[in-house]
Amino acid sequence: MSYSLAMRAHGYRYRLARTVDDALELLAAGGRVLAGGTDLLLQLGWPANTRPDSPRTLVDITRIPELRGVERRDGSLWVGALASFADVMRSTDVAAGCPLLVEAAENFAAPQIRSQATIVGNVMNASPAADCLSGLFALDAAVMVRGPRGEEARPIDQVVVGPRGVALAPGEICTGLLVPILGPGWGFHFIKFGYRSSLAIAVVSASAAVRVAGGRMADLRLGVGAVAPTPLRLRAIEEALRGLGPSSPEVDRAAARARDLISPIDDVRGSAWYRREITPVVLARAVREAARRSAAAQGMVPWAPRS
Amino acid sequence: MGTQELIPIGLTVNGRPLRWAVRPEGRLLDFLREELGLTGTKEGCGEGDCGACTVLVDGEPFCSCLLPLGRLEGSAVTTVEGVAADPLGAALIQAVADAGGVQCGFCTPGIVLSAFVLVRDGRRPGRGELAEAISGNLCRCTGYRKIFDGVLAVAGRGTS
Repeated sequence: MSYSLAMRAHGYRYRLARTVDDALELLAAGGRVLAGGTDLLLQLGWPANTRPDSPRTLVDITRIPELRGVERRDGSLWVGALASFADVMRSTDVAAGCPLLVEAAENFAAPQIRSQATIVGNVMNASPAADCLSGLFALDAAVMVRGPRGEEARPIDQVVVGPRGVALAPGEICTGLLVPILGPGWGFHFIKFGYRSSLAIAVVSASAAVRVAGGRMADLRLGVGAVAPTPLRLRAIEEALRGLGPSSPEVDRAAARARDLISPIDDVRGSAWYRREITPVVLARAVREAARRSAAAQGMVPWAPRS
Repeated sequence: MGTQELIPIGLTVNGRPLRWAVRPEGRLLDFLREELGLTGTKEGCGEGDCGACTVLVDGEPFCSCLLPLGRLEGSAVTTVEGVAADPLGAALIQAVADAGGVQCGFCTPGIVLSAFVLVRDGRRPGRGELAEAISGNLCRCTGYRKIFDGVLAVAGRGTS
C-alpha cells in the first residue's frame, strides 16, 4: 500500500507486458502489477501522476495469455490471474467446483466492474472486506507465486497477511489460485451483509461450506470477512458445529463464539460493537443455508424451514 | 504531468476499424470523446462508480473511465452512438425517452448500454434481472421506474 502511495505522490510510468518474464523484468526496478485495475488505478490517482521517465512502473499484465483461464486441474479449481468476476460467473467449472466464488462474484460491485476486475486482483488488494477472501480462506486456497526461483504454491493465509498487506517479495508475481474442490454432497453459501446490494463494501461477510450426513453436519469450512485485519477461517467453530443438526439451537450458541475470535473496528460502515453483535447471526444463517443446500444436493427432503 | 510517447493501436469503434497514435496510459473515455468526437459517453465520477461512461468492449459492459488504451489493441468498442445506429438499439433509446425515463439525460447513454446488453438477444428480462443489469448505473433524476418501463417495452422484440 505504501508503494502505491509513493507512485501516486512521485509518479509512475505505464508499460504493457507481453509475458510473465517481461512483467518481472519491468517490475525489477520497482512498480506494481496492473490487472483489472478497478482498485489500483484509483489508488494511484490515474490518469494523473503519470511520468514517462519514472523508475516506478505500472505493469499491465492483461495481455499475457498464460494468465487467462479458469479450469479444473485434478482435485482443484485453477483461477488464472486474469480471470474476471464475469468469467467466474459464466464458468461451469466454477459453478461445479467452487460455488462460493460464484456467490461472491454475484455480490461484487456491478456488471461493468465485474467485466474488468479479477479474482486474483481482489485477493492481492487484500482488503479485509474483500468479497472473495472469506471463502478462499475457508477452503484453504493456495496462491501460485512465480519468482526468480521458479513457481510455488503458498497457503492464502501466508500471502494475505494484513489490511492491504501481501507477503510477496519484489520480483514475485501471483499467476493464479488453486482452490480445493470439496466434491459432491457439499453445500455452500456466501452472505455479504451491508447497506446496498451493489457497489458496496461489506459490513460483515461469511462463507460456509457444509456436508450433511444422517441429518447432521458432518463436516464444515467457515470463513468471515470484514471483522479482522484479514479474513478468518473459524476452525474452532467448525469443530463445535460438527455433529450438530442444522436446526439445533446449539448452532447459534456455537456461532456466538465468533465474538471472541474476531477483532472488528469502528469505521464509516459500522461500529465494532455492531459487527460483534451481527457476526454470529450472519454466520449461523450461512451455515444453515449451506446445510440445506447440502441436503438438497444429496436429494434429501429439507427438515426445517429456512430462518 | 509528462507525456509518454504515442504508440499506434488498431481497434474497432462502432464497427469502424481504426489505427490511431495514442498515449497508452490514457483513458478510453477521453479517446472516445476528444479524439473521435463521440461525446455521447459521459464522465460522471471518473472512478467506475456511476456508470455514465459505460461502453461495450468485445460485447461486454465496461466503465471507459477505467480502461487504459494500451491494453485495447484489437478490441471492438461500442458506444451509445453505435447502439443508436442499431435498429433494436434505436428502438430502446426511443422507448426510454417515450416512457419519460430521461430528465437531465446524463445517465442515459450509460443506462442504454447496460440495458442493451440485456435485450440484444431478444430476451424478455424480468424487473429483477433489469435491476441487476443496470445496478452499475446511477440516475439522480428519474427514480428508475420509467427507465424500467421503457426498457421492458422493447424487450423481446428480436435480435439486433
